[in-house]
Amino acid sequence: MIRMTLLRLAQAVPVLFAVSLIAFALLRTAPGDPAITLAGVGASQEQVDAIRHELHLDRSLPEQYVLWLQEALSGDLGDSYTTRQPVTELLADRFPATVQLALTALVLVIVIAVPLGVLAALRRGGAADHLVRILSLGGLAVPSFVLGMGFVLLFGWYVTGVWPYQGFVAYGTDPVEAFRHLLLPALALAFPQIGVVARTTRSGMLDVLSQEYITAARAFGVPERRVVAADALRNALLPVVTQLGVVTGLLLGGSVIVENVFGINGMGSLLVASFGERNYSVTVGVMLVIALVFVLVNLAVDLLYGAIDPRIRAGYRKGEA
Amino acid sequence: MIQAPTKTTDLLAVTGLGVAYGDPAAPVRAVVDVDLTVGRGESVGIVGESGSGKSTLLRALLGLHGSGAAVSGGIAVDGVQLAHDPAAMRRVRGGTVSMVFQDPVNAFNPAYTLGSQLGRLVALHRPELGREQRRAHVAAMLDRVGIPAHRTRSHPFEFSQGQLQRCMIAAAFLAGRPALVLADEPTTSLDVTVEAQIVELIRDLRAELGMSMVLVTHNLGLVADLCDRVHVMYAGRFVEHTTIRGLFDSPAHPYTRALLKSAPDLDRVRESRGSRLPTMRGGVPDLAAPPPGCPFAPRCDEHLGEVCDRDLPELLPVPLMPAARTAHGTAPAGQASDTLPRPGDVRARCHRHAASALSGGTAVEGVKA
Repeated sequence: MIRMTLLRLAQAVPVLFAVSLIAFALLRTAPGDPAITLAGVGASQEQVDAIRHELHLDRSLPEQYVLWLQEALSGDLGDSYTTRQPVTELLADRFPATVQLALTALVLVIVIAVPLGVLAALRRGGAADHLVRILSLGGLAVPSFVLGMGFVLLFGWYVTGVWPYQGFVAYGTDPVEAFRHLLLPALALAFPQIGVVARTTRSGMLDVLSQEYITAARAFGVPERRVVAADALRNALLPVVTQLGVVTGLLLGGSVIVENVFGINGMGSLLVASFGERNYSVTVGVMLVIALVFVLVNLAVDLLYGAIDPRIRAGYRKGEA
Repeated sequence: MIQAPTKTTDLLAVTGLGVAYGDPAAPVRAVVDVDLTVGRGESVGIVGESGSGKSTLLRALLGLHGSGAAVSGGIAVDGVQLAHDPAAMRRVRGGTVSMVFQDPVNAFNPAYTLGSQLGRLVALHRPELGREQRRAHVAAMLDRVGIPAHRTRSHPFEFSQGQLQRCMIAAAFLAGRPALVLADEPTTSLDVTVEAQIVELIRDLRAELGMSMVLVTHNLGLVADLCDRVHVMYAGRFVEHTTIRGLFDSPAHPYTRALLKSAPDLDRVRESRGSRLPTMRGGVPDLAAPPPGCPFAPRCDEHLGEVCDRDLPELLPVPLMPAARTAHGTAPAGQASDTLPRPGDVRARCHRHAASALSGGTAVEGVKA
């Protein structure tokens, strides 16, 4: 298991390298010049060139990348062009809000979608089954930012003073207020994923419930509740865990817009702002962090597979990871 | 609510049992009008080819037929009616009636160790045992079926198929000490040498614990080894009920005779080297649209004509027949199967017997060597 974990972490290195290279190249080839933005309206060509020289933008792309990579390998992702703040500091400031938003959304997806999917499988054609179908279609039809704007309109205009719809409070500061502030953005973020995860749970459960070991457990007198919770759900969780890994990535990606809608100073809003300013160092830094989180989530999914299914765990032990 | 006993002598009493799937307007009738009794300590076999409804019948006895099936008729265990009382059905599972599954690899949950799966069953059926006693009981169970106790920490995928079938037998026979075990083709998935060990294990455990058993199989040798009497099933119905000796020496139904002829036999293979083994022509009828008369009529070598195509024969007592050694040979001597049929023991669902009974005949035509 340790070997598999180390192997997966080692695999993260080329992934991060590729992400940094692609992000760097795409940003540099996108239209716009940060030197002109920083110099401001009416700045002379000399001033713009001076800024460009200072930011190494006057060098070739490969040179710029090598310079950036050398600093990045020593833990320095550069400074923000606009605030002169170190990028690592900015990321450390903004990361907790995004993580708390994404985790709240993930918890909402799990606590709503998994039981709903189980119920839908147990009572095919029943209310839960119909609800799963509606949520799947609704999730596809209503993107997070539309739902988010709907929430802001509802609680900021029609039903004021009932529920906070702007700003962020950390769980470490006040857990209740943090949940109140994060509920609407997390719900907006989670909504499109609830139907998807519920459907995966439903189909996983239907598949497992038709297995012989479920019939055998019933034949041996195991109570139905335990058959569902201990025998069926555990085996049905493998595809759900895979789906949740993908969903976590989508939640992080979705936070880019949702944070802006709900006025949360997280990495999403930082990414949008930095991209608008052609603040290359910050944008690449945010993308690297998001890529790293993806890698870690996938590692967590692999470890969870092993925890759920002993056959996979045995494969890890044999070095088949 | 516990209902009044139906009949005190039989451990299992099944009356007019039917299992149908699909559209109620055009159902697939997998089991039709089955009557079956099993006495205490008795072992009853159900034989027939694949698709005849044997396994469906066995699963219906424990209410494991699936939510899409419509079940009619009565199932009484120890005098308590279960067929339409899901709570009562759940109460007997594992404790009074248990089951051995055909494919042990898929019948154990892959996510849990064998020890935890067997321990859970012991906890359910022996709640008076503490954790340590339970652990010791599981180890003893495994030891009894020839699996080392330390294997309790192994997962199903770490066992061979034969070892898993031993564990399955431990779960079915020893966890709840049931009065009746339903065995669904317990040796089909095993190779010949392991099969012999499993048969011996089942025979020993039954002798030791005095359990009743219903054995579903298409292996006639297994029936001879383990059963006291046998039902032959075709297209969802019992077509013959007989003793083991009756089955091998004087099969009454043309289907039974065809089944015996189709069974591989080493002596016959040796004698007829180069020629093909006899097979039964055709296949089991479509259960959604069975033929109007005898369901075996399209395949029957002893077809009587219009009456077989038109009317469904009743399961009637067959007049006693002289023992006629069949192509398959006499059942092994010295076993429970040695019992000669007595008047009324043999019943068959065939127009040939109905005609014979009406004419006062004593023997069945068409019993061919």
